[in-house]
Amino acid sequence: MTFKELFRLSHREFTVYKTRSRATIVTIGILFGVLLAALLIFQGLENTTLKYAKDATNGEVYLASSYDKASLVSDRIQKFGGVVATLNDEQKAEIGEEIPESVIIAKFSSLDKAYEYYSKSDKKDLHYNSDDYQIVELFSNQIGVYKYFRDKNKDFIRPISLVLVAVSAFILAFTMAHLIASSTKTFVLYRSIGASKGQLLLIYFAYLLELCVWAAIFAIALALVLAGIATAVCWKQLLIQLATIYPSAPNFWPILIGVNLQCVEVILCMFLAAPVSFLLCLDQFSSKKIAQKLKGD
Amino acid sequence: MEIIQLQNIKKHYGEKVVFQDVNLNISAGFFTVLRGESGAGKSTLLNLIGGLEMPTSGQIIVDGKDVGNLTAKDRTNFYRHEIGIIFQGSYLQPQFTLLENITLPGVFAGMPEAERKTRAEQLAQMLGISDNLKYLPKEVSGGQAERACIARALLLSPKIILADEPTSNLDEDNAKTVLEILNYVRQQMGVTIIIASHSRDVLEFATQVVTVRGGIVTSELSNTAAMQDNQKATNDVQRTI
Repeated sequence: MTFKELFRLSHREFTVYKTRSRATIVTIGILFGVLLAALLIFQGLENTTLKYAKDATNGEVYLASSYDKASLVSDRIQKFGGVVATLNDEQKAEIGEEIPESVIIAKFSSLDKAYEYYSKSDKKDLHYNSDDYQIVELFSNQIGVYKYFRDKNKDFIRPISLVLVAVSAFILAFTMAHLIASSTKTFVLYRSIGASKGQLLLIYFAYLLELCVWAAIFAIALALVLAGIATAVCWKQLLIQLATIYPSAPNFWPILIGVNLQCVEVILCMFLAAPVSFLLCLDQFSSKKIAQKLKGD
Repeated sequence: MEIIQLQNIKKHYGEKVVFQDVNLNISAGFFTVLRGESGAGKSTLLNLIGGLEMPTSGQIIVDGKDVGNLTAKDRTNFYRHEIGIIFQGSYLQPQFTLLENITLPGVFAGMPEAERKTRAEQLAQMLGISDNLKYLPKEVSGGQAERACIARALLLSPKIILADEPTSNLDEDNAKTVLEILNYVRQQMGVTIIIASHSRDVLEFATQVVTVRGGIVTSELSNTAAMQDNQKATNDVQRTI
């Protein structure tokens, strides 16, 4: 059986059970579409805010650090790719207060590296007290924005996406079980005309994949529409707020649509639901079950 | 030569006893009719022979193979090469044309597309539906759909055809034509035909009549003309059309 023939046979299931197939696509599409929209909007907001924050300091991150051992601070700045910087008069004026001599100013050109330095994840290795090691960002709050979105992702988006995957797998499994229950005659027919058990499994697996592909397309379209609506509704208010927070940054139209790896993960999760739900229904393909159902028909 | 042997078959559905100690032999090239009232167990007997249902105990030997103990691979080959099944109510896939329905067994068996198309066209020619191949099942008559089912069952040249009430949805003329076709297939190709039917018309073609009643199965050979015909058919087996 070629792939073309396989997909023709699986597509037959799709067309025969059109209403149920469409209902499944819409249900799963909405579940994942809303999640994807949230991701797109969050990432779009993060991109926009970070861009404003970066523009305020020409893409550089300034961190003021203080600790008892100045050499440790210098070593850490170097370790994370930063340099010890001296502020010019204009910068000092912007801060508006005298900086003590014990405070070391670090300049990073990479936000990721700056965040690594800021998060103090090496405190156990280097045996220092993180509570006494003070770090404050100057001129902008790129670290704060970065941390905020990172925490929201960890605490909010990820758990929801896991729940949605489980729910969609359940819906898919339910649809499959229903489909299999109503496909007994087709099973018996295919088996009796020489389809192997593997071929039967492939046909129904391909059907499930087709459902997932359409659900993914639906979810992406829905997410883009929702994120577009969010942009249209919020952009004016957002523009005012960003301009207030970052007065030195040049204004640009904020777009609340941003793509990140997590969006890809969510799409992949949809396809992960297919084999998971398929495994739940695997026993339905046994010859014994088919014979039992044949009698029940 | 016996192509099908049922030995001490018992079949229960829970508490309900369908068959109790059934023994039955069917010879190669026979036109065997399974008779009995509705619910007597004709379809179950057919399903048992076809391996679609398993007996509670006993052995079913089809062409030397124990149907109850086939591996998954052997079972697939069994359906590809030994048995062709015609289900009640001309069960064709509604989204596929008659040609696609007929060639379906070839798809599963990995037969090249050109070969299965040629074979399907030959069978359609023989069964008188060559003009209908491009139509969907709903666009043809019941008799034409039934013939398409026969063609599908014959595509991989099986040794045995099992037909469950193949004429139940047909008018008298079409029913007779379908039975004549099955008898023609038996004579020309040496295929053993087993039909479950409560129609009396089918007896005209029978070489063996198996009666199913109250869980008991009895068998008797039918009229002499048909037996002579059967002898001719088994002596002159033509595996190709």
